[in-house]
Amino acid sequence: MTRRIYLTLLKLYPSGYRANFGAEMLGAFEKAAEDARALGTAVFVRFVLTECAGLAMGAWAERLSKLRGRPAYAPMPAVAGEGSLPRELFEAKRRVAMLTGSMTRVIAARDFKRARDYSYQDRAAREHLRRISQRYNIRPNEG
Amino acid sequence: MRTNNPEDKPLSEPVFLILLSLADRPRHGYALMKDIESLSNGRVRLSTGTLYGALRRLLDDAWIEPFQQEDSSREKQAYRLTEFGRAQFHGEVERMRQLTRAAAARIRLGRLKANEAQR
Repeated sequence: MTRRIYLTLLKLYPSGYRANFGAEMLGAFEKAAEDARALGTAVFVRFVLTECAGLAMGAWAERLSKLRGRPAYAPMPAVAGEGSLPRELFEAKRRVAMLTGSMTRVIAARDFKRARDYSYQDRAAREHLRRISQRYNIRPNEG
Repeated sequence: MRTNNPEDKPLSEPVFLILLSLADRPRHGYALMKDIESLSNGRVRLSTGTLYGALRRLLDDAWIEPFQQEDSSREKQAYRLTEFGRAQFHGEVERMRQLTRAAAARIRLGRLKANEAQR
């Protein structure tokens, strides 16, 4: 019964979000529901109401950010050097690649406020990459 | 001094608690919910909607990343902090430590003044 309600409310989310997180969310919900049920009816009812409100607000926030041009979560971009570069250097490169992609997407959607946020982050990420590359004596754009 | 960089903004409580929970080891969604409840002495119980909304933003900003565990299934995807996320978390803890120190000093000063006024 609660599973059916949960699945119905999950449909409020954009399909990309559901594809990425729907199964995980349902799994976490079902385990937490078992815990709440064991604590009595009052706790369980409060739990279900909180979950419903959380889903409705979460779906609203996701829909809003999608309208503002934020794309469905995409797995981390593929960056050369995984396994061969030190982990922190690889992560710094991947972060720059991810921010560049995000910035391009929000500019295409004409969301300039978010683009400005990404540009601050991008500048900091490139500076971070430069410092780490120096430490390892590797040029930032080397794979 | 604070800048306009959005990463300099204080973290929301759910985000702070998620980072705190992931600071020692990777965790999946349900484990995060339980750990956060225990870390906050039962005060904070994140709904799955709030938890996954925050996880999605942290993934987008590369503060956390998916982590493949041996028993990883679609329902039990674990997450861990990236080096960048860990640095941001440490920065926030340091900011809170400074504020706590300043608050303790002000409280001491306030008590001293109140005691003096009573004499």
